[in-house]
Amino acid sequence: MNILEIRNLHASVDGIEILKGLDLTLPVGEVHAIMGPNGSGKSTLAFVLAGRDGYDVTEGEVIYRGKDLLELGIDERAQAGVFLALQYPVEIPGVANSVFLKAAVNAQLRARGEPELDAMDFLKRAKGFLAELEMDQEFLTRPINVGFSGGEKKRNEIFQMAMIEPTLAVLDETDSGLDIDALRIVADGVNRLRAADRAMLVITHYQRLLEHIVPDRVHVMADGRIVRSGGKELALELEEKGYAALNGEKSAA
Amino acid sequence: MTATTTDYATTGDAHLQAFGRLAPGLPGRGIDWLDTLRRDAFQRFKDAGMPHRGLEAWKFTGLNVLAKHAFSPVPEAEAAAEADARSDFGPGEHAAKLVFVDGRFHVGLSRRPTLAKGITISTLAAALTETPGLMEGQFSAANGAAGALWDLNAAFMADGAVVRLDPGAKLDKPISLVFLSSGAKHGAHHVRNLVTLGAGAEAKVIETYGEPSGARAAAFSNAVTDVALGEGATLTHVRVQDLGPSAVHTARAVVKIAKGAHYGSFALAIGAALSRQETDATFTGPDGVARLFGAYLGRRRQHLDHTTRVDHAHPRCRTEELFKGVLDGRAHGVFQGLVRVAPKAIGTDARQKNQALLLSDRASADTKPELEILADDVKCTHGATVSDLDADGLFYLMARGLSEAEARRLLIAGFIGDVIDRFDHGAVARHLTACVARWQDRDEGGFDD
Repeated sequence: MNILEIRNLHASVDGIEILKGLDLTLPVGEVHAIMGPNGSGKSTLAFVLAGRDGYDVTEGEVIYRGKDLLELGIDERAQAGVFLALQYPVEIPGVANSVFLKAAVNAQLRARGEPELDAMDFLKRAKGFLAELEMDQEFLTRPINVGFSGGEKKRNEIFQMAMIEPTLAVLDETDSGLDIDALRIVADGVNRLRAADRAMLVITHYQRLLEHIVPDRVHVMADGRIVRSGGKELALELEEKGYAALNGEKSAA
Repeated sequence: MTATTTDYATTGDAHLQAFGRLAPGLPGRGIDWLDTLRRDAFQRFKDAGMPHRGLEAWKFTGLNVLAKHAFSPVPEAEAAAEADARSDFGPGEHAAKLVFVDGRFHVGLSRRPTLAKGITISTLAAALTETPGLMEGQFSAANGAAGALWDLNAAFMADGAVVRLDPGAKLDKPISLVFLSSGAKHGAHHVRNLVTLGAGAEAKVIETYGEPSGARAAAFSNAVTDVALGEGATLTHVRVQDLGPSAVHTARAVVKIAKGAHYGSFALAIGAALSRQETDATFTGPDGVARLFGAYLGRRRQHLDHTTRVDHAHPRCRTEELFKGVLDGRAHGVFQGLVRVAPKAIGTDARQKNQALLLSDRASADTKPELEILADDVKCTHGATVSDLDADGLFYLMARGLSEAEARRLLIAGFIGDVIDRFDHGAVARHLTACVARWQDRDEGGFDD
């Protein structure tokens, strides 16, 4: 079964076409990486999947677990199990992480018809994941991402992902701004969430993340399309030759 | 029953007419200095009349509603003896609770346990009768036409709370002062509170202005709280205006901050048709701190004004001001902040910030920061922003599964929660947070007028 099937996806921002006929299939249980140079449309794809306003799909379709994803609102997608770890997590002063996360987890449980977590269960689960991500418990009482370092923000995204247990996780440049230790912690966190009933799309500019999160497949994106797909060795090839060479290959073909 | 309010055209007229009739019954009658104080104040009010938008300090807030209806002072006999008092006004935990209904002390609703030595909690009427000597010189007086409501209060003040801490006395739990407007239509009441802290004393005072449920009182409450802080004293002073949709509320805190004293104030406005909460702070010695915080949440046609004035007359004092507003419907928010730095007030550090969030196209916010700096070597800053709800924040929360309504609610609570966070982390913060949640939960229908 495929978690995600994207066919001929065209999308525009402010009237400028960014995605120009993108095709991608993500089977259940797999982790795929999307690599590509800046401006190739990687983050646009992430936002289109999450349903952000201002990202207009003009053509094509996105099928999520057999259903039309594009029909759903932002919150409905999240409730249906789609999770986007943002490249730049938003700071929200005045709202404690725990208040937000409890509301988020319970919104999803409600949508799935499952009983909500009580405060004790919530805290127990939260503490477990915090420990795994080497995060202090005071993260829970701090306002969302306010005053967090780049690494803390990214860890917070993975923490949220762990709590929410999505079916499809899209990680948008989760490695950017991380030092090597933080990268390892974040990657370990992601690896623990790999599961047979879950799929992940790992968007990254650099190959180094894929040394830690080894993908089942690598797709290369350029100018709004997937231009090459291959196994994990494709990432290494890109690392050696660079994106420029790849573009050359493409235009030569 | 006395004459009904409809005999007069305006609130000003009603008060001018009532003074001769009511003055003999006001507390402290016969005390020379007090009679003079009331008479002078009344005369100034008679000369100046109600504040109007022609005055710089009132350019954003018109009091037409006081001219349209004649709000008339409620005589003692007509103050509601029984009020279906909502028990949840004010903080749940308190050291003592004084309740005033229509400007008069209500024994039955109040709770005054014996407090530690050096702490006196009384009422204005009782203190003027029992210890008039201690009261002399404790009352602030207005200067200029912009202070006409202050004068009106001095002329008509009938009761209020008197809180006094001797040097070194400390009270951890807050003293809750609750002022209820009963259903008396177009009644006016003028409470005067005195809070005096001796050197090194510490206290928390929470004033709450509200209405018994269902009162829908079209009442005018005009309060003044005089605060005097001794050297090194610390006061946390919270004022919550949670009145019903027809109420008019004006309030003023007049604060004297002695050497090294610390005044922390939070003014929250979540009710009333029109409200103006003023804070007027003066440093009377060096090294003092004034933290003036506040929030206003309005919808429908509410008009909510916060006006502050801080006088830096001594060296090395610090003022920190942060006011945040959330305005929906056609609500109008006003923030005015004046900081004056006298020539000898070197080393002054004054920061002022006002942020308003507009939730509707028809809501509006005015902000007027003013710095008058006559000293060198000072740090003074101010900033103001008016914005919509943060689109990035809304997306982020919804992308985690919160509905738009939940996300908006959380963002608004967070926007205001940020000011509360910066002010306090204990019971006071929890109380303020609960007040904001009540505003968010409230049936909006009541504010339809």
